[in-house]
Amino acid sequence: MLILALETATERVSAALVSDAEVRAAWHAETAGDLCRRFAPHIAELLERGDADFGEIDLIAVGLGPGSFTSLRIGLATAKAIAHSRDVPLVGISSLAAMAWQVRRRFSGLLCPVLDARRGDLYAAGYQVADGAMHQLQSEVAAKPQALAAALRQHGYPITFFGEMAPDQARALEDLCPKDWKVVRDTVRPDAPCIAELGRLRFESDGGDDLASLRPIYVRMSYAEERFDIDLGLR
Amino acid sequence: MLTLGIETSCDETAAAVVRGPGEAGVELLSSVVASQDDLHAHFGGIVPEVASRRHIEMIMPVVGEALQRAQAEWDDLSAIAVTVGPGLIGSLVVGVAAAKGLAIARGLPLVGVHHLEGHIYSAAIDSTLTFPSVVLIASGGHSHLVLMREHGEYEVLGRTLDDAPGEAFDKGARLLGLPYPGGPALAELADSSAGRVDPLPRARLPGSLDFSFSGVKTALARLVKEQELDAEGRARAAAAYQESIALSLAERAIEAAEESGYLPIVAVGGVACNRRLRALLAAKAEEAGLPVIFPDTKLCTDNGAMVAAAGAHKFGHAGADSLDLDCAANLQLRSWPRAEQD
Repeated sequence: MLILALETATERVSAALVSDAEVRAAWHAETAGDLCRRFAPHIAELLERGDADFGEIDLIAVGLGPGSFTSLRIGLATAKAIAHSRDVPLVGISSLAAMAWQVRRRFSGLLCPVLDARRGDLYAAGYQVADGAMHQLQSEVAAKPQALAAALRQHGYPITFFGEMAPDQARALEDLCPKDWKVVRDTVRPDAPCIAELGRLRFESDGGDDLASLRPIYVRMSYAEERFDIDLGLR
Repeated sequence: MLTLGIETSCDETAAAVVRGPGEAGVELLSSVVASQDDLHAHFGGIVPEVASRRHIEMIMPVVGEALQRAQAEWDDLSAIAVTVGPGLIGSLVVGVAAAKGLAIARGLPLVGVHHLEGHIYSAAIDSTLTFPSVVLIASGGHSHLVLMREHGEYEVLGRTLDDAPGEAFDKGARLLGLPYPGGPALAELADSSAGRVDPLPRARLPGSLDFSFSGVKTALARLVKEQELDAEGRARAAAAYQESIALSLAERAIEAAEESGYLPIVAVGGVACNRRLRALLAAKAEEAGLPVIFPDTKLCTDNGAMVAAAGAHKFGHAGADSLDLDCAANLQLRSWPRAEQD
């Protein structure tokens, strides 16, 4: 099965061509507001390097965030266009889940990937790995460290926080941690090969997502909806 | 040759397929527009993040529907054209990323289109542009007078110094307490007024072909504030306001056409749907002995057909753009580079 995976939740964007769990070609880059310009040519080049044609792709897996709204939409619009025009199934994967999958053998207990959500918040979720399968115990949220720790505490497992956070956010989490929790300071960011792997598992279990209605995991309403207290149901 | 056009610069998700260009311009095979007015009405104006969120859900259904209605397969297409600005950046990137995804997946040439040249080429659908001519672009976000000597050769003669006419219509509508989107509501109210009305005081900008609509907006604000307007009074105020905007646009367009050598006038953009502007401009052009061309009103508001039409012409004259094509919220209208001749 040939999978094209795209991941654009953070400034480190990536793409991978994965064939039967083997990465045939991968690309990643730091972007600074030029993702729309650079993304498509790199994907075309990735396929060339992987010696594959767009017509040979069996599945497209795309990271849904949470993260930068605009970057997520660039990734998702690209994924939808390739999937639609090549009549290939599309599956959207939480970028936080991909981060947890990446470290599932390194850490134990409740895995809590976090990304900086600005405004003092962290995007976070909670996962547990048992018998090689990963289960989501905490859905994606944008929360202050204190509220996040309180929400996760109720699951009753020791927690490992990891991901990409500002130093003061890491300190705030450390101050909240009981002895058996930990905060990993090394940066972990979502990566396309993990999106591909989780995409394959999801596709095998439920056949993937509806292409048209698939949307990023925004978590937050738009600022205007918050201000006017109108929920348009676009989350 | 079939071209798919994609337009997401503001709050409409739109796609269309055209054939050509041939001797009678490009032939329109399909045009699908998904409006977001229902969403933005909650806020009394366009909310960029809300617009972007709707675009990402509408983009592929709209593109798919455009192909289906044109009875076209991917392999039938020769190029993909997409609006690259100006507009809301979060909205633009959805269309551009989708267009690029389609271009790489199907190996199709990509053509970037300026939103204003899209409006201009709405007059080249099932019709042809004649050169030289003067184009009046009057829309929600723009008002420009452009001299065209040839396909893709633009010389901007004048532009608005403040609001665009569509914006002026929307602001006037808000002053009169009309619901969003205000432009069409104001025009409807104005049309309900009986008899002749005098225009409100307007800005004069002697020695230039620029526009200004802030003065007339102030005049309307004062009128609404100082007088208790009854229903007929409000209708007459709307009519006077519309008359001022339409007169400014029509007079400037005639001036530009005369100064450029008595050229034909082409009037495009969402505000070119306005009935009063059409009537005034047609009457004044006839008086001056100048031909005036209006595209079908359906093609005046933002749509994918105009982008496909501009893209099809641009592809023929200047070739494709590179895959690292960028988009921008602010983008100057530039003449096309000419493809090298053999």
